[in-house]
Amino acid sequence: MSRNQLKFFTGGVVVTAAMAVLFAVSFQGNMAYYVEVSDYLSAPLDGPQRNTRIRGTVVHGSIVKTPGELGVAFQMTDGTDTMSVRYHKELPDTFVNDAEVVVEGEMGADRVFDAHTLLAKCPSKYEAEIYDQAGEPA
Amino acid sequence: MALFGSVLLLAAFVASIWAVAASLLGGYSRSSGLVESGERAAITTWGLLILCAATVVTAFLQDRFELRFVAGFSNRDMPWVYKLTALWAGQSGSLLLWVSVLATFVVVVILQNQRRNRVLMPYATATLMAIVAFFTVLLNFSSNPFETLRIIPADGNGMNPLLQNPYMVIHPPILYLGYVGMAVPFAFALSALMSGHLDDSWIKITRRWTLFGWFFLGSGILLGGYWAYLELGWGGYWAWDPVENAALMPWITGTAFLHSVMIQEKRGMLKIWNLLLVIITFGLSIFGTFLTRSGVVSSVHAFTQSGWIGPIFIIFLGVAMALAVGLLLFRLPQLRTEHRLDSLLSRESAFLFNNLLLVGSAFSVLWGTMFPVVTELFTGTQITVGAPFFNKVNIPIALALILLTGVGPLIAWRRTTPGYLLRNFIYPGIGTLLTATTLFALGVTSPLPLAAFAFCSFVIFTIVLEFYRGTMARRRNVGSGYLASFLGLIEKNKQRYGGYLVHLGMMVLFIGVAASSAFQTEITASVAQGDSFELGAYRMQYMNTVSERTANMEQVTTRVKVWKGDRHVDTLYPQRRFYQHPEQATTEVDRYTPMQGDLYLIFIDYNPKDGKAIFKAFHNPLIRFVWLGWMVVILGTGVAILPEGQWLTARIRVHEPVSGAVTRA
Repeated sequence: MSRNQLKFFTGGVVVTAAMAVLFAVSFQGNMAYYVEVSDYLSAPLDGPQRNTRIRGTVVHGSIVKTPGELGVAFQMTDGTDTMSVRYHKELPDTFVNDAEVVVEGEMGADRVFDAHTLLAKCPSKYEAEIYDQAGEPA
Repeated sequence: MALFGSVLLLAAFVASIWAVAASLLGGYSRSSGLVESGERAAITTWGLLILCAATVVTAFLQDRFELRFVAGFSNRDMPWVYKLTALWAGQSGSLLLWVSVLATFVVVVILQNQRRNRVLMPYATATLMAIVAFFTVLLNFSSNPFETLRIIPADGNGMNPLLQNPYMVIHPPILYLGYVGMAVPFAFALSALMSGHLDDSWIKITRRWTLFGWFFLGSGILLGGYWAYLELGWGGYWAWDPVENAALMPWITGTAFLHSVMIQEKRGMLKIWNLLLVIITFGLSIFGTFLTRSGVVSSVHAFTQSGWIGPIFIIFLGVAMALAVGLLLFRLPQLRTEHRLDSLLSRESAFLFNNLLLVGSAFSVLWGTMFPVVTELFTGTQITVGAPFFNKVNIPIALALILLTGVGPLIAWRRTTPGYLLRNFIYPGIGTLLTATTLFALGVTSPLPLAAFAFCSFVIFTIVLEFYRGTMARRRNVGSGYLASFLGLIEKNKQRYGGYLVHLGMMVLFIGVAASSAFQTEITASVAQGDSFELGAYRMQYMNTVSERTANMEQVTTRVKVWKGDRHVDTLYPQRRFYQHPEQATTEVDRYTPMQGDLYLIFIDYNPKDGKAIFKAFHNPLIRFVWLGWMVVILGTGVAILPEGQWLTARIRVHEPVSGAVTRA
């Protein structure tokens, strides 16, 4: 390998190594478990660094919201277990009954989950329930 | 109608298979008869697919709810514009659109190459039609838009109001033009490998196609971001969501490819790398299409999922990649580089570093997006990484890339002396230093945004200098006026100066991104009528609320006066809408948009008991630069993609030469 090629190769290695370090460092601080409601309730993951994202569906009729106040209380489920949730910020438009949601936060002492992040999924673009005239799924 | 459509779809499948077979056989045995037959089959497939698409659109316009697809996404009251474009509202229709776009591109390629590239064409046709064939298999056997319902509903489900929006309508087709556009360079690359014609003719043929695909992919991404900014009401435009990343990855590697092919054209180097890069870009394109609709990674854009479409896509991707890489390995001995790297201080070197950084970035996005799937495979639990990871990795990479963008065009091929560099960079360097110190003095002390602004200004200075020097040189040589010289300069070398314009646009965009992320401010306030709340230099005064009811919706609109000091600059009307069928609430944001930054106002809630309303306001400095930057990119791409030829210059009269200068014919 000529001297120039060696210079370039070294430069390339340095840049790649820098990116790799950047990558690893950024990775460490930003991981979060992503689990179902029942997984979370049955095995609360410990470790102060670990954040957890929990997915589930909003239990129909469980949304309690005071008009004129920020925040909401509701229940979410994955079909097996149900969890109560508190959230204190403005709600996304897609947050309705039966919406799929993802919450991030910590379980409070009163067994109500304190969410600091709440995401609700966009209406499914590719799935449409077909209802017949009586309103039942076809 | 369903039967008609299904038959057409099946015929398209058969035609595409024949197109592949005839083209391959014809290319291998040098039989022009077979090759022509393959091309005719390709054109036939296109015709059949277009008819299919037209049938689906007609079905929507005619409210044919016996078709499951129509019943699922339309209803009688839906505006006809959205019925017209509901084709891509759902899985099967969007697949039909994808393959129709591809079939159209095949026809264009065939027409473009009737009298040239006859060695490469059969294999390119075969590759493209093989992709078409795959999609027709999906359409016929997995996701058929002509599927019927046993019980015909009286009315359809209707389309979600969030999707009944002009931006949402054009976003998928534009993205598809991008995704599908990348198939053409891929096909010609495979064609070069299959035919053994490994010089850079495949690159020259596909340069404009690559630009085209890159451009529409980028535009689709921007459009998606702009729509999210306008409609979703969270004040941002990019969240590193898997579906967003899916489109970004091929765009990043496409950018790398656009640059590295220049090295092959100029110096005959990187032949293997270019082939690999275009294969990866197309692979990421298919991967992006797969990611968006398979439900494999959880996303807020929940376009799930029809059971086995995910695995089928992955198998197709795997087979395509294996074949492509296999062909590459087969031809490896013949892919000899013509030159070697002469110096670290050269344009080749700058481009190589550019590629390294871009591929590193794409890899980080891929890894971060797929991490939950990988961890679930190995540990049973999904682990996700959020936006902070993507930002932390990509901001430094972007900064390095911006620097290279300034350095690259000014560095010579093969080798540059440090003295030459110094002379070229002294003015932009001084300009940058002045800019940086001024910004620092004005309060921009945070290192990352300051670096971003400084580096972007460096690039802008170098580009302006390039245009200036070029215009002046041309004026001296040709004797034309300033404007004529400027236009003539661009026209004479559209690829280069179009490229400069694209870079310029990207710098403006990056400035917008840096400013609107690093210096965003926000406030949430609960106010009574007549009262105000403040954000930065603005005071927002809540005046009143008006409620309107229509058949399916209740609309609550607030009126808010925006004051700057004691000047009333604007009145905003943020509103909330509550739909019944389906149950949906939407936020309609309103903005005050001077160039220095958007004042973005969200109406969150209203308490009927005490008449207080809750608002959230964001100030996004320089966010208009993001959209305007892309406008400049559009201009630059347009220039770069134009064919050779100087019509403008031929029509501009050469003025009296500047005194002392000699006019050359």
